[in-house]
Amino acid sequence: MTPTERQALIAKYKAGYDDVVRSLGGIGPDERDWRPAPGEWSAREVVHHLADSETISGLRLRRLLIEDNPLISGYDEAEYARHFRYQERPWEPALRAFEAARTTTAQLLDSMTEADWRRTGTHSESGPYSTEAWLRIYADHGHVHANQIRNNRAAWAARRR
Amino acid sequence: MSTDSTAERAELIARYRAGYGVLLAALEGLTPDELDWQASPGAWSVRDVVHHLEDAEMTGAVRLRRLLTEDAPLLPAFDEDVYRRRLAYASRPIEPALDAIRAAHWTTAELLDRLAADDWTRTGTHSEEGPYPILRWLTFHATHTHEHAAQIHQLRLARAGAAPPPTEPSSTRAFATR
Repeated sequence: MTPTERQALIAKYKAGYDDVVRSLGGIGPDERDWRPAPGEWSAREVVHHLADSETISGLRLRRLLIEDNPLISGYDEAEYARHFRYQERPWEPALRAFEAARTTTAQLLDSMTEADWRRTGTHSESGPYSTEAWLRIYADHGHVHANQIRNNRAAWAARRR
Repeated sequence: MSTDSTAERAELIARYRAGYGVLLAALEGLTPDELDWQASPGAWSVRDVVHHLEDAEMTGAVRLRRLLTEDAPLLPAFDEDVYRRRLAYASRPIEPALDAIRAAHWTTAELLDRLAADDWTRTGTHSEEGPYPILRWLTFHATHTHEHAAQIHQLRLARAGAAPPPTEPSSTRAFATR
């Protein structure tokens, strides 16, 4: 990955939180909790997923920077949603956690050297896991879920017509 | 579960929840000079302490989630001195770190409030400290932020000359988070 490509992905990472906030603009109370299909997440569940996932990913990057070839353990996001009752909990704390994980981690991304971008670890499920692989995943992650929320809302609107 | 242990857990959860407010009180009116003052070369500054809490409390939040969802997870140790050195604590603004501490506590307190009786029997293994049941997690994190708030008070007093500076080069040793 060239430094220019990396910079573009870091910018995308930094824009992810605002994209999610925009996707939630003007959302109604029932709309937040509506699941488009059985087993799919509501907007509320997506926000809680982002809080947990982004805290975990921020710490993964820290471990990649600090430990030599750390073992990064996968986690079961569907189990988190059930066990931690995403659908029942207020989302304001989750939004704050998502934002803070991103803001602190972006500080680290800005200070990484060429040597830091060559560091790597091992993911318990997907295998080799470099800092660049991390960046590719999380540059998109917020935007992917912002689009999921937009799709939920479009489906919600169509359902009521 | 005895009434005593229920009351004890509730007390620890309340203390955990109060930690962020106590930290903010310790930082009230802090000047830029106080933020970066070191008792001796290499000693921790207030800024270092806040970044330490960011990383330690986010790590704690994730450890609790792993204890609650995985069977006997192995929790890797956290080397606070390496974090401090490698993650540029000395040069990063503390506001995002404070937001991260607040959010980690806020979301995690929600989970603690909802723990079922069965959850208290869950346990994991810390890579250096060994068995790590939920109560051990709670006992540590209930006081961790308070201890570092007290450390910040001590650093501010030491800088003002109202108390002798800490004698240990790394003044966080007493509150080591692994």
